Amino acid sequence: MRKASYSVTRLQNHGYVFILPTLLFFSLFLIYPMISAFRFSFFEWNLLKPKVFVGFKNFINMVHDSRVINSYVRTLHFSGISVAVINILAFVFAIMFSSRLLGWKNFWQSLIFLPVVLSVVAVGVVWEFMYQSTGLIPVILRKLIGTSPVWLTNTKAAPYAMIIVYVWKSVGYYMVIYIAGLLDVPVSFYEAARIDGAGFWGQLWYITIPSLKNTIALAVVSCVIFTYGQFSIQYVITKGGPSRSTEIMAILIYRQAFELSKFGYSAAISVLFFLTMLVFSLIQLRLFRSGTVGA
Amino acid sequence: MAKKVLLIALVVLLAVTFTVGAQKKKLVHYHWTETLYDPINKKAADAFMAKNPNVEVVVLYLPDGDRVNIIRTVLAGGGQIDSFALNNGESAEFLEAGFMVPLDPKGFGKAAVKDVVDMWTPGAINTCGGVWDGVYYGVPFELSDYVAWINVAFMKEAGMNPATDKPKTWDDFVAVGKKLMKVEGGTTVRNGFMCNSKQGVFNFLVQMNMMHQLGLDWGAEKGLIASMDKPDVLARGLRTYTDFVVKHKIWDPALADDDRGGFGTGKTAMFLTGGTWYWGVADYWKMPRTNIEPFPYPRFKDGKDIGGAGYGYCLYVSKFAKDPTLGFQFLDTMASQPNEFIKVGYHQPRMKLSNGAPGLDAKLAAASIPYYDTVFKNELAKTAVWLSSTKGNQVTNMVWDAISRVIYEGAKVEDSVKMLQADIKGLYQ
Repeated sequence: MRKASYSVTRLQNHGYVFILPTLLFFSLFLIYPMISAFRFSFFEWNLLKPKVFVGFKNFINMVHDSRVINSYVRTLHFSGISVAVINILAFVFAIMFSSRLLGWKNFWQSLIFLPVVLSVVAVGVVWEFMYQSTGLIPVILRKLIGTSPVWLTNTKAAPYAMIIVYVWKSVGYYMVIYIAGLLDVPVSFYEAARIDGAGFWGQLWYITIPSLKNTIALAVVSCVIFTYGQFSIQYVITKGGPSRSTEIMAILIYRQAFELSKFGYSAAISVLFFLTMLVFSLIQLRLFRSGTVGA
Repeated sequence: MAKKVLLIALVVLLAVTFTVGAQKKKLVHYHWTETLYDPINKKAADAFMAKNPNVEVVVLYLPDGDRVNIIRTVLAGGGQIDSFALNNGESAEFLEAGFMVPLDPKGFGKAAVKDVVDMWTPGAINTCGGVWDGVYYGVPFELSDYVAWINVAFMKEAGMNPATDKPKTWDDFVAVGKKLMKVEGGTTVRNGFMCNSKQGVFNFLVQMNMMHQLGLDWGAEKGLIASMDKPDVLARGLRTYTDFVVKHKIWDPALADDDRGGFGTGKTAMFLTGGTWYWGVADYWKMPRTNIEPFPYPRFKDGKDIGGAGYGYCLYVSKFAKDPTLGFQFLDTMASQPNEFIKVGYHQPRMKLSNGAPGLDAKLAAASIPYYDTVFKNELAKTAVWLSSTKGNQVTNMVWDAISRVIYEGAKVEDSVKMLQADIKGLYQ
């Protein structure tokens, strides 16, 4: 076999040169901190005293720490409901906007997408005011149904208050993904279905959903990954309260490190967080690699 | 040729020496930013540089919430940090780790540490967290105390006389709170009292005051641990505070989360976490000063005569300072403007300057701070000592958890106290 010519080899090497800046950036700001976090998880360290190697003590403590368990459960609850609602709503919006019956599509799409581009901190501040007892939401609810939950100071209502804000902020992004997916479905499928007498629900069930399998998989897994790593909304609105009912994992990791100065323990919790995200990422990779996505 | 080379080498050597010699000494100080105080601090830094032309001072003004972690990170990384500011809730951890240099009297032009200490009000360095293991480290920069605040316009509206009806005991506090509470259509539109419902530290400080008044020593680790063997007293303190929400309903946390802003915007008639500086905050919220008055913290009828939490900031010279004596000279200059700060409501406990001039002018203080003589000064003398502990933040969290369990989860006070006892005892094992 002929050896690749000098110019081809040189071109391949040039490729590495082009990706070198990004590689350096990722190594410095992503890979190195990740490896450091893994390392710190085996130590007790408050930055002021020397690191003390404690082996797996942080991980053992984590398993028995009710705060960590609470946080993990809260995160699963927040992610599970948010992902389901976001994807269902985004799908419904995408279907609506693909219909010829709906007018002013661009306007409605823009309106739904607008929250995606807003600053999450600004969103959090405004929604916090809206949720307070004299805020817009309780006032409207009291006028409509005569009563309103106490959104931010009730441990049962507060998690749902966060879900509502997050769904409102994110649904536009996934709507765009579903719209793009719908555009890929050949129109001839629907024409053929209509000729065969299929109505709206038949077309939806036997054409749209199967055709969007890959898009749904992409949207759901991406949504899970992004939602699981959520921090800003809870931090701005409730700071994890009331009584830790909205203290999701990212907030717990932050507080352990920057409020309690337990950097080793925080790193250990972040390893648990990473492993969970890794599972979701592997699922996504597998879906892509197996050819069931993007095919 | 050799002569030429030698000549060039000599010239280069002289140039380098001259450059190095001409380089200024750099002093980096980490401080917090506050709109009213920054210009005064800048004035001090400029004055120091004018007096020491070979010194370049860089003051880094940091958001107060991030300050301690930034300082922690810079110290851990061995970065250039010659001096920094910490409050008395933060300093214990840093002092225990040995990151600060003990007071150097030479930096103040004095012969002995006692001469330096005597320039501040008695006990100030201690209260501001600048003492560790009997050694002085800190230069006091602020000494304040929380007092109670009430909206007297609301009092008059409710038919009360501000001159005679301000609460003196916690029972009075509840009674007045109920009268000042406003509910419209089943919704609270004004709290009788509120505290910050998101940040535990403010609730901890009010709770800590109550515990002090009930005879528990929450100013030191030993006292805190010993107090965990008195569940009845702990329960009484916790119940008094949480009943504001649960039983007496003078505080509805759903109305607003920030007590200082809430007081300034009329969402609460009373709050308990403001010092002399709150006048400036009230001005920011456009709350007329004639509508509000500070008053001494309520007491328990059978409790100790202790006022609100005392707190302060100290300035410290870092162990990484290249010239600690110079560092203390700079800190002395920074802490030499009590009469500038008092005009904007910021109290510095400096009695004498290093050059012998008088420090804080009592008449100016009284003129600048309404109720300075009648409320703030008296309460400062009886302040509740903030817990000095290397695990202070964890204690604060645990106490806030205890309060939150009762007001947000509906837990029984006794059960919450049991969990608090377990938490504190586990922490200090």
